[in-house]
Amino acid sequence: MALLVDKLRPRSLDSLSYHHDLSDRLRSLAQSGDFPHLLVYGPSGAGKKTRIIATLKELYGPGVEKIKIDARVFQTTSNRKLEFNIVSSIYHLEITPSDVGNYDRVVVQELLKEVAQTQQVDLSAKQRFKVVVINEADHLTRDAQAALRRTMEKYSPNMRLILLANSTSNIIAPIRSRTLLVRVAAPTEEQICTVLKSAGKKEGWTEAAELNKRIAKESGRNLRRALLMFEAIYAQSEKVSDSTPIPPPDWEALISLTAEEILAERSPARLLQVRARLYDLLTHCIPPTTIIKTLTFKLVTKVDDALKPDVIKWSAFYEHRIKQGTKVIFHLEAFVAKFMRIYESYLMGMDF
Amino acid sequence: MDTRPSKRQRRFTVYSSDTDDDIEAQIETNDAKSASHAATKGSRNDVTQLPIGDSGPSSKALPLLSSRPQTTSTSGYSNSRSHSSTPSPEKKKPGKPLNGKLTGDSLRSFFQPASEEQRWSSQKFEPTRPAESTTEKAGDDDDLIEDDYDSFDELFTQHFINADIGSQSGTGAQGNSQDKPCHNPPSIKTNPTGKRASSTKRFLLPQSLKGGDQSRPSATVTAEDDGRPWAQKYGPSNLDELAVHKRKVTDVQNWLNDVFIGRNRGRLLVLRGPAGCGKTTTVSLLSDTLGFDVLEWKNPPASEFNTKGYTSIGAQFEEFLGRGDKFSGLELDGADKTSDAGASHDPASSQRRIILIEEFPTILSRNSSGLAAFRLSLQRYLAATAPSGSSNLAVPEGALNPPIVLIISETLLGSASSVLDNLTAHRLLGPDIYNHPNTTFIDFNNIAPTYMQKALRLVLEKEARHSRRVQIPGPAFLERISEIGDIRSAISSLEFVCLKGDKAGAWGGSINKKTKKSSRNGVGLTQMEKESLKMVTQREASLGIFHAVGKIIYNKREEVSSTTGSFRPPSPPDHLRHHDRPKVSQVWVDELMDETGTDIQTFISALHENYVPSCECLSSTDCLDECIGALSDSDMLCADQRGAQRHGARVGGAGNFSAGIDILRQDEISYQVATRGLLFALPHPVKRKLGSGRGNDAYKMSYPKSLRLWSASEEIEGLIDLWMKRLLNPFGTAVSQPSGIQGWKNRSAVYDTNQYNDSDTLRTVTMMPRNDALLWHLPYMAKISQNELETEELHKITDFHIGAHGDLSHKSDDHVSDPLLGPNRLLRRRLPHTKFQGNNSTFGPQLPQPLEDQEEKLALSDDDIVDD
Repeated sequence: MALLVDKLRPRSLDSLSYHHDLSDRLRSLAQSGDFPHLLVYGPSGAGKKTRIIATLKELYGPGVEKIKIDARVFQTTSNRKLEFNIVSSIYHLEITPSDVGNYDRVVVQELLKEVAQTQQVDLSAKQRFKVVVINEADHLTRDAQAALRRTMEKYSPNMRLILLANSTSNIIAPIRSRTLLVRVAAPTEEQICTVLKSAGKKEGWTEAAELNKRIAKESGRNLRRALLMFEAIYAQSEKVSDSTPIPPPDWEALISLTAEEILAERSPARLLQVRARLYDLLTHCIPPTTIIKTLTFKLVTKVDDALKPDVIKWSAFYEHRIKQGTKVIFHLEAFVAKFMRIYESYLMGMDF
Repeated sequence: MDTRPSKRQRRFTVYSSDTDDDIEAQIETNDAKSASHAATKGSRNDVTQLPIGDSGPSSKALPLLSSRPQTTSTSGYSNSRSHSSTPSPEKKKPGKPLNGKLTGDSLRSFFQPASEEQRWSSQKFEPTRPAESTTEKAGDDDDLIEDDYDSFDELFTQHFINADIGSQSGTGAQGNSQDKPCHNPPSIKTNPTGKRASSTKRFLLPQSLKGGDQSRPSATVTAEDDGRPWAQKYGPSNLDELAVHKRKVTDVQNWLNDVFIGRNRGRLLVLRGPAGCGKTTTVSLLSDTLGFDVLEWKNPPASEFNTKGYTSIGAQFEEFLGRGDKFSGLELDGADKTSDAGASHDPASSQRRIILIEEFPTILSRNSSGLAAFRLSLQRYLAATAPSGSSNLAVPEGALNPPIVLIISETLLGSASSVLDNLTAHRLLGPDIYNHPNTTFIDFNNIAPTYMQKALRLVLEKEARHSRRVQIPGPAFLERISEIGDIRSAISSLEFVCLKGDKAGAWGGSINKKTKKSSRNGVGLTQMEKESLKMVTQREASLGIFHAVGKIIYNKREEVSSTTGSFRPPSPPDHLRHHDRPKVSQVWVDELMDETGTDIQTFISALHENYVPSCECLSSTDCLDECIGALSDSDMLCADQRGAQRHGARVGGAGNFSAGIDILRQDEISYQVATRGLLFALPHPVKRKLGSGRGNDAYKMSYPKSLRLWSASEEIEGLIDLWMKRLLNPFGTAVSQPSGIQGWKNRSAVYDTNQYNDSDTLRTVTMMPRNDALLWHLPYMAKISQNELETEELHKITDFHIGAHGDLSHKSDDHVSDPLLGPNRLLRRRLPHTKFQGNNSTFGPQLPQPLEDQEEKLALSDDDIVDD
């Protein structure tokens, strides 16, 4: 089953539907023959990856699309075996080192060395170098980034790196300075609407302009999300109109329900109930920072302006603690309790 | 008294197709016996030896044949499986995988009284034996013999390991030591059997009505020299004595039944539960009731390593599974060739067999290659037996490989630090097998005290018959011991206690007192019982932890009013007025640290789990906030490195790495912060309360649930990994037909998708950030997908237990679906989808998930308790 997101993904720079200026520049960069290391950043669902793959195609031709998926096993120093997926063609290689958590340094080092030490096999290839695409570069540990920096210098004749990140803030300065920074902005809502419209036309679905607008808004300018929502709506309802509700993912629904519960009653019993919900979310591997972030935004929209700074402050405080500590549930619950207290005292203040 | 149990027959099977003459047959019997016995010693699996060897190990026959030495040797053999709490004959069965050319015949040993457990075990067989009987001669023999022997020790109906109808016509070794001519062909028909499992229950009934062992009070016990512990010696001898909840037994029974008759295509049954809750015993008893053989995997000892030509254990395991196949295949062939007349007898009934894996042929460190090999073997096995396309329900039962039963003693509890060492089904099997459609899980719980008491009482009675003990521990004592939940350990405690011998009056009960009910409440513990209890039961640390937690969360303080100008701490300055606590705490935090009964992090988690109800007071939100704030602080200070080790965790590598003594210090600091913080923040007169409606629960302490989350979330994580791979390799996810599933399971490490590139399925293959996939892609995919197989797994990942807590709807779902596994399985799978369609609310599907069931069970104490 191919989802719309996958089916409609543009495969060349020409077919990209927005940021044409950026596409043109990437094309000329690819044609110039002097391809630098890239650091592509921007929010998720903005089209970073799509753009990169299209650029690669521009660089090497259609051979890039002959993909092999490989599961490599790496042995760490502590003899743990890590399985690691690699997507590769003969010209490029795509990896997500953050999949292996703290061992990403081993992976980055070994793999890049291996790639860099082999010459391009295809003599007719347009470029002498291979490209390694590193996903989620901002999740790399410091160690791995340092290792990366060395590799970039050492093997630059044989290899180019393309780093993908959501923001540059987590990437160490030496790497930032060695790469060409390319920012891919999220599409505007109108652009999303255009994409949805053309997608709908391709599928032969009835168009609902208002709905598309709402999807664009709801998706937070994330095109992937918008397309998924779009398809989900059409898959679920027979008759789609402007007022068809947009289903949130279940975890989000659960969090907004939790937010309402917190607002409705503040008591030990309610806290226990909320705790059960949090357990449920954690069990389903929803990242705790996502939980606290979503919860905060759901809560903030429903409280008085005077409270908002405080809520955000405590949310940030406990989010930091989640990162640092080990017992995630303590900090999540602490945030909930803190909110209950703030909200309660605010209400009391009003009453008296 | 019913005659049935008293009838006993020594059964002996010989390979006898050449024999015509009775006397000759008898001689040969002896030869065969010794030969087969020798064969047992050798490779039992050697197919080439089948003609002679395979009938031999049917040790049920052998030991009973006559001589004591043999008995002991076989029982020793059966004991080699140390886990078993019953000496049930099923264990002896693995030795007789038999090909088709055997004729069963009966031989009767009247020389020696059987040992007690033999008697029981053979009795157990009785109901099923009819089911298995397919040979004619055997039937008559029995009939004749029964007439001759009135003795209590028995006779019984035929039992055949493997009857090949074709070969036995015209033959038959008359092992009867009386040299009775035993041909009496017509009597087959009189044999009330022939059919099978369905009828077995009928035969079981009278037995159960009788009340099992009570009917044999006069049994003389000869097992004195039997040095086995009570748990094995006096284990349950039939399903009625089994202390496991009946519903569980029925679940297992139904599953096996369905599999045997081909209604259910499941091939892997996983029984999991804590140690000593009767998993193994259930299987072995069922093997008797349903009449199947158990082929058990045993880890080869190191010494055999050489003889096997340096094959790894993993390879040997693979071979073992493969051979399980081969046997059934062979047998089937044999039956086809030779079954001419006996079409009415279903040869398959005797071919029923399960493969039991209780020892795992791997070292269970995660990610070890041994584990991977183990999983791979299982996966191959599952793939080989998985439904092939649209093949229907009419497949003869023998055509499928025997089902595998895995018995896993899961350890879920565990202090925070040992989580990584725990064994769970998911860790053992990996996500692939764990979520395989042909895998079924049945969870066993701890044995409920009521059942346990009955079982203990039974053991005592059995033992008393043996030792002529008159005084036994009283019911109050049994009650206390029963709280453990682990029956094996309870019985050994009992044995230990009883070792002391009986002084008159020392014990609170006696063997003759049958009606305990009336006196149950009246009789307390005698002095000696109290002492013994102390020795036996103090190992339970959980009491310690709850005691310590209670001290904190009840927050006892000195009463200020105690005149005499009692010490009142100076009050803080005005701006800190709200921190004033006029009453001094009575809890000695420093000393409490030694009494926590567990490690510090577990203790802190337990505090967290239990503090909330204590916060019920006027300013409850303040109190809550301060309490959890203190706990949060303490977590910041602790030195737990679990977070850093979490696989794939997005902790950014910021674990607090520290070493040696620092860790101890930090632990202590975080303990102090947590306890003192709670003591400071809790209101003084603690009134625990839990909202409305659940008044009693407020005083209940629960074990920290947060420490158990890992097992469930690990499962989900495994599923997500699986899906990430599938997303990456879309061509592997053609789930439209079952063969697609096999495709997943068998995929190799490398996929070359080039060949697909011509079609319009061409798309960019690329990786997706895990978070994006989890948060957006998979949930919406679950909504979009029309494929039941896919959606079921997806829903497992994405669905939540939205809706009121304590919602019971899922319970019924749980129970109903189990027996229906077979053809209805698909139907059940479809269920989520239809529900989901009808339920198009903003919350999406509100499906009860198995996972949530599990979670609920953690909270509920024990829903399996049924009081009698």
